[in-house]
Amino acid sequence: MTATASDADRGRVTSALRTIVRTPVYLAFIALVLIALVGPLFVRDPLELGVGPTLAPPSRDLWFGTDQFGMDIFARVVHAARLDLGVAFVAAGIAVVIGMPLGALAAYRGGAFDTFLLRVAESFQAFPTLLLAMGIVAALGPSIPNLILIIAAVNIPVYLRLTRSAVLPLVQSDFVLAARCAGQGDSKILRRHVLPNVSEVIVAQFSVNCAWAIQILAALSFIGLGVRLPTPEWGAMVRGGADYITYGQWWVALFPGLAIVFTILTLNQLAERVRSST
Amino acid sequence: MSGDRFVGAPQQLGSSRALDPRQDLLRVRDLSVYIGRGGETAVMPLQGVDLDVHRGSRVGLVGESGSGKSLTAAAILGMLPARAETVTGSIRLLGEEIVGATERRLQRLRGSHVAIMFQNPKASLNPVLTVGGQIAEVIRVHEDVSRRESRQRAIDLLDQMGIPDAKRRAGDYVHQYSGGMAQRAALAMALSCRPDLLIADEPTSGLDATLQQQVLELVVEQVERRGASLLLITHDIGIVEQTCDQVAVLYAGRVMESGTAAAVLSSPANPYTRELLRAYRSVEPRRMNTIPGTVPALHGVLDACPFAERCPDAVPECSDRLPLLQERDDRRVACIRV
Repeated sequence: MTATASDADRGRVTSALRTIVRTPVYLAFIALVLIALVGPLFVRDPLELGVGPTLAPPSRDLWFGTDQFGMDIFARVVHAARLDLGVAFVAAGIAVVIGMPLGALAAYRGGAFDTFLLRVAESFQAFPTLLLAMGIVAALGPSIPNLILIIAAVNIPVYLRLTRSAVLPLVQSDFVLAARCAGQGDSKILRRHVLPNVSEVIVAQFSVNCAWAIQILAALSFIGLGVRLPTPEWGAMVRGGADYITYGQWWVALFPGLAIVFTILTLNQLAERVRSST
Repeated sequence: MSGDRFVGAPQQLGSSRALDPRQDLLRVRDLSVYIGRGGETAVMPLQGVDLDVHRGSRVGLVGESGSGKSLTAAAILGMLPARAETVTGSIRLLGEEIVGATERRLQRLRGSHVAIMFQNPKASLNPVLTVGGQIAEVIRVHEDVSRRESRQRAIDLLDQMGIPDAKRRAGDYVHQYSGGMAQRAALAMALSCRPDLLIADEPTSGLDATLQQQVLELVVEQVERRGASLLLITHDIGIVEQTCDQVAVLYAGRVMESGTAAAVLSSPANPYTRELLRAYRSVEPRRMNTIPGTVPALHGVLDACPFAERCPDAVPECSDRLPLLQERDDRRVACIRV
């Protein structure tokens, strides 16, 4: 590109950086990602027993206290961020990769193909998400890859329908007509002209979906169908600590619970922000 | 690719049958479109359209709203809406039949042999791609050129269309363009693969009056320079008068009169053409003349002159049968009274 164009690019990057620094939700999101990526390098081994006395309250040395096995809750919450966010991200990613093209194709092709896909998606969505997930876990068994696939599967219909409804008006638009008149093929039109125009909705939905995925994973672990202790996972940790709340040892369940709340709030707010920024 | 292009004097529409097929750029014969599943409820917006465009000529296709102008263009591109159930007749572009052609063959023709520009230029460019990038992409679809070369050609085209600072503006998005500039960019895109025929569907209706003239002049100049032909679709007979050498008047899905613009517009033979011209020219005297009534809804096959109800010259025989397009001296006319 020319010199003027790269100047313009640099200006765009600077103003984008400024927006990020001034928006708390972007900072919160970046913090989350950093904790998940590099946080585990700076904390204790989450499976190390007897770090302190069992069920020690939060102190200067052990910020979040210890659990019933004497493991460092802070280290476990940080490690769990990697697992929870990772599962959520991969699961939502798989759901996008499958759901989005199907939805776009349904809208573009129309007819019986469209009706068929829509009915399949609706019959999946007729079941409460968690119930559906519980059913599949019970059938397949609770391994991490299985959990990822299950969470992805229950989210595919969401992307399919969302993309379909966003693509429908575009299919009739003049620029798609113009692209067809210029002799471009259907798949190229879908990839180059249609999908980039719906990316904003998809990105927003992706963020919401990651939040859902964490919720589903935590809920499954909480009822004992997901990740099992001692693997550090927020939902499982809340489950493990729930019994001690009544004895006054609130910290075991509270901190992983707060981590879930903070993550879901951040991801939902991020989606809101993306949707309203354009 | 266009080295051997024949740029001759415009041929008269009426005498096309004797032409060497190699010179026939576009030849539409008895084109009919049926929407719906036949029977009583079917709508038949085109009923036997005959139209010729020869190399180097500029043909104006005029008519009121609902006369079938844009549908004719869609048919030529092989892009009729999916609910148009039946298409009969023949459309030959450079001798290649469009009616019933496979999508693959049509894709090869679109853009490289026939291109179109629309009424609303801003809507016909993709909002999330740069203008230059979109044009370059169309070039790459049809020609085996590098990314870099296609970009350079896009910039050159924008420059030729009179866009100032084309190199920088090629990297802009359509929302950064004004309406007139967007239409120039749309023209650049339409001409990017050197089409033999450019269809311009109401290219200036979305622009304000001062820009209309500029854009029209640009279209004519660019089409002429490339030795291409123009099919200009408009409801404005004044635009045809300024721009075209041939004219076809469409009414209710039928051609009422066609011939050289000079002959048809100076001495219209069909009463419909005459009334249309009277309505157009009446702006200068103080009274506004209109043709009373509206274009009839086309349910079923026409069995009488579609204009008979509105025609000041109508006689009872006009309702007896459908007048066919027949050769009369310097033109073709569909009217039993001529």
